[in-house]
Amino acid sequence: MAWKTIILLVLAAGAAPLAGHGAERGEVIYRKLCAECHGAAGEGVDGKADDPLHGKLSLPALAAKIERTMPEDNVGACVGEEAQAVARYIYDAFYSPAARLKGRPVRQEMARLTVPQFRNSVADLVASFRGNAGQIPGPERGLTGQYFGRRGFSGDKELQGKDKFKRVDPAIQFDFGTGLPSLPEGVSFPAQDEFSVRWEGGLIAPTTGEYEFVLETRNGAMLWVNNHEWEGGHLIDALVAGSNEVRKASGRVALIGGRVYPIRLEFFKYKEVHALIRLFWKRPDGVLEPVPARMLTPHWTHETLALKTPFPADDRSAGYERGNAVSREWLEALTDAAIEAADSVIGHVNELARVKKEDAPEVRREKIRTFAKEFVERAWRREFSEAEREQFLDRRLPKDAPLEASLKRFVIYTLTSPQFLYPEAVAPEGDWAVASRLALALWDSIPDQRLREAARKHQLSTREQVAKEAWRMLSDARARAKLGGFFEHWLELDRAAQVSKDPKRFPEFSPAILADLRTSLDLFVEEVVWGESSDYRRLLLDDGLYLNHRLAAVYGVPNAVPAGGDEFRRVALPAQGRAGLVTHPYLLTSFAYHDNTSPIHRGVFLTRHIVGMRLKPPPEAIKFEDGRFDPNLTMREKVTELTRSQSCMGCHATINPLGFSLEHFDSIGRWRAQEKGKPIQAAGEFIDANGAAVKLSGARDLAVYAADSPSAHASFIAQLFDHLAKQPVESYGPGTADRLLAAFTGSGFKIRNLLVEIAVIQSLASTVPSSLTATR
Amino acid sequence: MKTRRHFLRNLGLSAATLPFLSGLPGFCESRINRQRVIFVFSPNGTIPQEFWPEAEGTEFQLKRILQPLASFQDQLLVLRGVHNKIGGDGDRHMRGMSCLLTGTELFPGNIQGGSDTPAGWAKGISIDQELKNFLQGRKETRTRFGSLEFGVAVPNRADPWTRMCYAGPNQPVAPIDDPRQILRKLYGQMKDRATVSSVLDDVREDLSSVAKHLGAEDRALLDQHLSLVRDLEKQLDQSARETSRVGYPVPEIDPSIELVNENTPQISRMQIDLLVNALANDMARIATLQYMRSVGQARMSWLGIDEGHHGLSHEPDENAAAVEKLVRINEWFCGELAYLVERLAATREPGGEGSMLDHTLVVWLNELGKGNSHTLEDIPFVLIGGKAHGILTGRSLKFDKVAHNRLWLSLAHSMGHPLESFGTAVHCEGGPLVLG
Repeated sequence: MAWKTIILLVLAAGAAPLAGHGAERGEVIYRKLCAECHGAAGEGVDGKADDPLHGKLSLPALAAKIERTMPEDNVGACVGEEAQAVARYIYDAFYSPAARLKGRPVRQEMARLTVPQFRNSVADLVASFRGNAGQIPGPERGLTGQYFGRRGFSGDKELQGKDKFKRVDPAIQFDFGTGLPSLPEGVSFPAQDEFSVRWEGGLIAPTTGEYEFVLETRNGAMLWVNNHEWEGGHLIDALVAGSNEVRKASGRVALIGGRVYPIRLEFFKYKEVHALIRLFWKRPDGVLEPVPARMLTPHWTHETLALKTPFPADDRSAGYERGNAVSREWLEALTDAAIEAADSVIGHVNELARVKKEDAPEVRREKIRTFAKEFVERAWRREFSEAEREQFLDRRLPKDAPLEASLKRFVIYTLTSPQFLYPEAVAPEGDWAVASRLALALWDSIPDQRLREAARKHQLSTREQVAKEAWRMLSDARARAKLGGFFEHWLELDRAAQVSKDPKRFPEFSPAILADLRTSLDLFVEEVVWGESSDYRRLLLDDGLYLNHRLAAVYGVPNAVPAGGDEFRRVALPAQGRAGLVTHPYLLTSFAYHDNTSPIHRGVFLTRHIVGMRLKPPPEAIKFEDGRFDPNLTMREKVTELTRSQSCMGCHATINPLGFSLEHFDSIGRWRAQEKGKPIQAAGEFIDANGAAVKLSGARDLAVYAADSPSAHASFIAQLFDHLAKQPVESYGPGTADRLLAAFTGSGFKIRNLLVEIAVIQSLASTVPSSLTATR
Repeated sequence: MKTRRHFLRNLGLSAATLPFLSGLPGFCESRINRQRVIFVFSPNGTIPQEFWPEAEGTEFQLKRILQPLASFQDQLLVLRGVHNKIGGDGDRHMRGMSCLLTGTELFPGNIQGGSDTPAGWAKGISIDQELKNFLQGRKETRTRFGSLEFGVAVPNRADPWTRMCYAGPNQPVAPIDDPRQILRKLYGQMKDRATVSSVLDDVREDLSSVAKHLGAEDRALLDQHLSLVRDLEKQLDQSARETSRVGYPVPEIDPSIELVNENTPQISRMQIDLLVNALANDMARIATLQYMRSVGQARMSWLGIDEGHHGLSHEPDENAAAVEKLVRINEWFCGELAYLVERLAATREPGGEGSMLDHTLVVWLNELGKGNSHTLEDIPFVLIGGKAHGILTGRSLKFDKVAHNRLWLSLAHSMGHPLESFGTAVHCEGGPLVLG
């Protein structure tokens, strides 16, 4: 029954309890008034107060809450000193995190690799035999185009190179009309109806998933993505034209986010009137759009094994992806993925094992055995002793067995063994364990060459040594990808991808605008986190937005960005009262109804993620039905009406004022002065984690509050920690969260420093599963 | 053995009434009446004087090129006077290839041959794919793949010289010339299953030994993993038992064979073994086997010939040495064809009467009549086997410059698919060639 369910606001705060006295009195009151519903030790009672009486409110806030709401059927029966006494008893006995840690330390759960960890590890494992994984592309953008006056991607010998040239093209969107590309001085092509172009470089994949590429052409074209096999490895073959008509051809490829992939596009016109070539893509959850210049780099890069096999999603019930469960679907996907990886390894074995054409069969076999040995050592994040190695290879890759078949078996075994899948269950002590944890924390992957080297030389023992490695690892694309994943979770970005808006109210909104907004958000986060300051507070306080010309027109500054092209630039919008992520239109759009704002969705998001207070699920689900309200009411008036009851206000006293503070921004995040002819009311007040009343006049006040609030900082740290370590911060000992908070504050809220701090703490933690230490 | 077509003709029924009869119980496709077609392509024309038998009718002598098929002479039907009359864009190698099975023109395009105008892909479906669709459209003739496209030494490029099969206009179908890839396609899951089964054994062992060192709470996840592994093993055993009922065992393919010119003879035999095996296990009823491509430059070092095939085919008739080499090259192709026919003849028709050859019509194709003239006339068509198709073999026929579209009509009719027209309509005038 709803009225019996106690709705507790569980706040993430770190205030110290008052000095203890009168605990006995508190206990007596608890037994008398509270235990019936909450259980003898606050464990909860089925059908009454189901949830255990655990939380993070400060002691004064807890007392105030009891006074205001308890006992539920007789509010007012426990006030003043009595409320304080019972609060003190509850707080120390079982309520506060510290009390719970005393009783039963939070342990680290045994976990397998998460799906992204598996994919990244396999990609890097194979890449480690090729070269430069994780390079961050330089500042140059676009693809290198080589233009030739003949169709065969070559020049005419007699013209001595005067019929070819090279340039960097920002995007591949060319209608050459009936003529030739514009030629630089000194270059001339022999015919009007013949030329060819080869574009090459790198493609930056922002997220993990399946990408669709579409070529639009009147002529001959061929596209390769993440495949260096020029013979047969293409993604799209549209070489043969038909009647000079515009054709579209498409292909799909799986890519892992945050990495750069080789791309090549060949195009030629021959005895045809028109020449046209355009390259489009559709990112996972994106829209079909020209591949933007900022996702192209003119430099060559290695191919990466990006497994196509789909996996069931990892558990996210704790607010971050973790590998705490196995299932039949997972095991089958794992097996298929291992087969896929094995087939790819065998297909490239000569390259990976550095077999040369002239190598005799015995030499080849020996090279492949050496490769296999290194393959399994890198995968299992360890090093074999000489004796172990021989024994292992003799058993797993017998000398007399057919090489290809046994190598296939070897790769599948390596990738499905617990040695690969459960890094902590088998983690050897010392430097190798540190290397393994560092790589997982910062890259979701296996240790690279440098880390392996450091582990081998026992240079991962001190804090300084580990911090040095962590700093190095931050300047790698994989660290950016991992942090990108954090923002994905923290800001619940996956929900935004599915958003649509009422076309009558918001005709200017479209899937393309939504995709632009995502880019705008990504650019902002990237600039703040990886830019000079790396200051967490700027995420909340920045008064600008990244806009391209399309967004600029929709968001009230039509001339701020020149039309044409896909350039985004930061535009300051002080008059709109913008405040970083808090008012980013992508999030405002995501946390809103398709035809109106939603202060509740926005308020819940702000409460949980920005201010850092935790909310329990609502006692009963009440649907917001717009049609049930007087049509003249503003959204704020409707929500106030809907949530006015006592049982709602337990949480909505916080949710509503936070949500209302964003009412200046409509359903697609545009600034507005009024709604239904009435001026927007964005002001309000809420009680924070320490029981203090906070007055807000609008979004910026809220952002300023969160930027300065230790409990907001602590919440940010805890969520980042979860994402990096895949274990709760409490499991690293009671003082860990406080130490991290102090370090974060001391660094001037630098996100990069925090990343390093977290990585160091979790990778140097003594052997992780507590039960392991017990058995050793 | 009387086939349906003989029976119907004897009754005086025209092909046009066939669809009305197909519902009669006695006329239904049965296991006995299984019909297959294999198209085998070799490029660059033949040497007419060493190919065409002098005599017509049933009494004829095989010339050198057809000698490898001597023991099957009574099962041959040699068809002279059948022309590829498709005109339009593209050089004759292109049209020879891409119009061969489609019987229709090429789109204008950007691919330039040695002469004529540039062209694109064919404008229509090819007869093999047409027959496949027909068979796949009926439950009683439906198979896992419907058709399989094999290649031998086909260069890795897609252009009108390299493709003869089309799923429709502008939709070339690529042959697979890697026996390993074919093996994966046909039996990949089965092979992988066996590998995974043996790996799971080791994984189970590892899980147990790792779990031993863990406390109860940490063990729980690994124990669960372990029991899932056991379940998967059982599941694999089960499906392995089911698929072990596959009648014809999977051929052994050397997984390390490199796809290089020198290995062509071995690859050819592997592909033929796989093809016969796939048909025996009824994975498809239609197959193509494409050697190289039109304008193919295979260097048949295994015959002691170092020049490229296409280059040689341009040599004038007076170059006796080149002619001799071309005869030997075509003999080699015919030898591979003979190996295929032997394999079919030596395999009992699964669940039916006679040999597989009795139920399989093998059609030998070339994109040109003669290499140095680039003629599309007198394409060296040979039909072999296919008793079930009601074609009267053991004959050498000479037609009067008939369009090859009509040959494909005959083929379709012989399979119970009485097309009135196929490809370019004007070349279908006169209807199917009478082969029965």
